[in-house]
Amino acid sequence: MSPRARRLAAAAGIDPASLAGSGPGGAVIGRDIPSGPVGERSAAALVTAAVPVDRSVRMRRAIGELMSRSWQEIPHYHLQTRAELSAALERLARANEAQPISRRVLPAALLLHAVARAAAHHPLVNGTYTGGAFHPADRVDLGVVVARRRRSARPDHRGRRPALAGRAHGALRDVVTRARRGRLRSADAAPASITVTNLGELGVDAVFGVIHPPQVALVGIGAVHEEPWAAGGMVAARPVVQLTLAGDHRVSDGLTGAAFLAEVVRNLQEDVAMNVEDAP
Amino acid sequence: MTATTELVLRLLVELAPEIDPATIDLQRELREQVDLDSMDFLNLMEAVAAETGVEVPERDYPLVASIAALAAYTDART
Repeated sequence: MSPRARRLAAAAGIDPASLAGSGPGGAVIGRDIPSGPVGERSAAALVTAAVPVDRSVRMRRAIGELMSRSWQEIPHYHLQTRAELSAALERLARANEAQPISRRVLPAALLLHAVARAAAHHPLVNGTYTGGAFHPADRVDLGVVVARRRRSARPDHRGRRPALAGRAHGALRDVVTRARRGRLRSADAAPASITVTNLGELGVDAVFGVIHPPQVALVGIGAVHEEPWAAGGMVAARPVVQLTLAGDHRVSDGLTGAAFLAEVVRNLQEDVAMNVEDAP
Repeated sequence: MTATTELVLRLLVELAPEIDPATIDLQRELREQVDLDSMDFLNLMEAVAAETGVEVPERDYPLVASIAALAAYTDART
């Protein structure tokens, strides 16, 4: 094998032993290495050669390709902030108290709702970047990464006036249930305009995400922990969540991102309009 | 194993088919043993309510952390 072929193969993530050589004596030379990113077909073939084909391996490879593309193409910036949730969680607990189980709303839905409402006011984090230009979305389609089966899915959470938390919860629950049973509808995997990844259930404090192309922003939600919170010269134990934003510098900058995150926090702290009784 | 314990285990496996009920320690906290998030847990509470008519309020979640505790809680209210 020629040194150039070895270098190209390493750069393309290809095992040169899997290729037929066209050089002297069947040696693998530069032109035998497929140029550009590994296509879907050759990637699938390589997986087949390496290990028994398994859904999780294929999925890992698909995610790897998408995230590599994201990291190569999108100049990311990351911001982090904290939100104090005692008032929001107390309101939620009170509202849930009066509800049958089927209408109880999880804190996760409250967080998603706050993100969706803020995204509706910040067009530079809600849309797609394709063909060298940003296209703001005309509504908020919130993508939610469903942790356990590692699928991206979108609850039916649309509209310039984002749904109420109760409805967000119902949509979230349906889509999570379908994702985990491996029965996503094609609409569930439809393109989102912004994605939320909530790893709080796994116990991590904060998520610094990689944007899902062609989207331009990803919000990370960590665990809600009780921690010391200073306000008005006093320190008290309060439930606090870390929120992060991964933004695309081709479209927005830290100023826009900070204003967006600040509105998410405000929505959580002053959710006067958040009507959790209006569950489906 | 009581009938209620068996019922709760069956409902759990329906929600999360990857769980092998034989590996569950009935006395230990469920969420320490298996990968259940708050959505799964809410769905389990709803399934238990549908089968037994017992709705566990959120403030009682600490009382139903293991399968045995959940079954006992349900039995005491039916």
